[in-house]
Amino acid sequence: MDQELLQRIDLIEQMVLQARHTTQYWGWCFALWGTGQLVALGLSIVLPSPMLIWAIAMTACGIATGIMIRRKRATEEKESLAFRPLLAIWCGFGISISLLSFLGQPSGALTMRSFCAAFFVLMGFANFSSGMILRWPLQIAAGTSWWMAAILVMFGPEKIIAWTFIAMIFLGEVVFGLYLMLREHVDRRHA
Amino acid sequence: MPELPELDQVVHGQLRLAVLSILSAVAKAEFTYLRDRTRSTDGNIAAHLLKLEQAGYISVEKIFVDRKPTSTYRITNAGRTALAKYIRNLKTLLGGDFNQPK
Repeated sequence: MDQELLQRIDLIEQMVLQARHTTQYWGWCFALWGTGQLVALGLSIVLPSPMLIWAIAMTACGIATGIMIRRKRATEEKESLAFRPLLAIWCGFGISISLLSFLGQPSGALTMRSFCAAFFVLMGFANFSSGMILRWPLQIAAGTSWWMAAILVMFGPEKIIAWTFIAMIFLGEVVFGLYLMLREHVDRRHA
Repeated sequence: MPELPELDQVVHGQLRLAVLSILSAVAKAEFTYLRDRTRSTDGNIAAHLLKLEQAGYISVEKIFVDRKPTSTYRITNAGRTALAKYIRNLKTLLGGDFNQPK
């Protein structure tokens, strides 16, 4: 009898462990948004109407992200408990940054420096919180680096702001995203 | 002498216990995922899922994805409570044996 009951405890532990073992990859999302921002930045320098270019590029990224999430959710056989809290964090981040970008700058309420500082602080918050939920030190470190960049643009000279922005988009979004995509590729090969 | 607790027979079934344990650790899971994880067959797991559903321990949502019918299961509050109570009772029944090294 005791043996049967102990087997039941083992069964519960095994099933819970298996179900919790979820690896969802969001590298494509970081790479997409990072590339979108760098392309928008490049085009806004050479073409007229920079605000329109940013609006089109960011809307396109938003639509592409929505479609990809919908497709992923439709094909995945289960939804992890962490999915909803993470979605809430990144949706909140997206709405906040959209307000800052499309209303804060044209209204004159934000300068390039204050916009970058706010953007970096929000990126730090979103990455750090996601890292804490996932217990993933790499993303916690990424969040911390966004906060450090925010401090740099708050106190650094004017000329480093644009370069810090480009460097952080490239490293914190494009490179981070590509690294995650590479990890996904390796994990799938070993699965 | 304290009375020994009784185990909920709906939860105690091996396959049903496996399903409830999986659902307690995810937000929701599809029929095929539950079948594969428990290494069961369509007919067998369907019967046990129905029993859990009738007991009010899980809920099912049937939708069409790419024109294919898909059943998605979630654990209910009653199911979570029943599983927690079952584990508590199991530990009580095992008493000293439970913390012994295997």
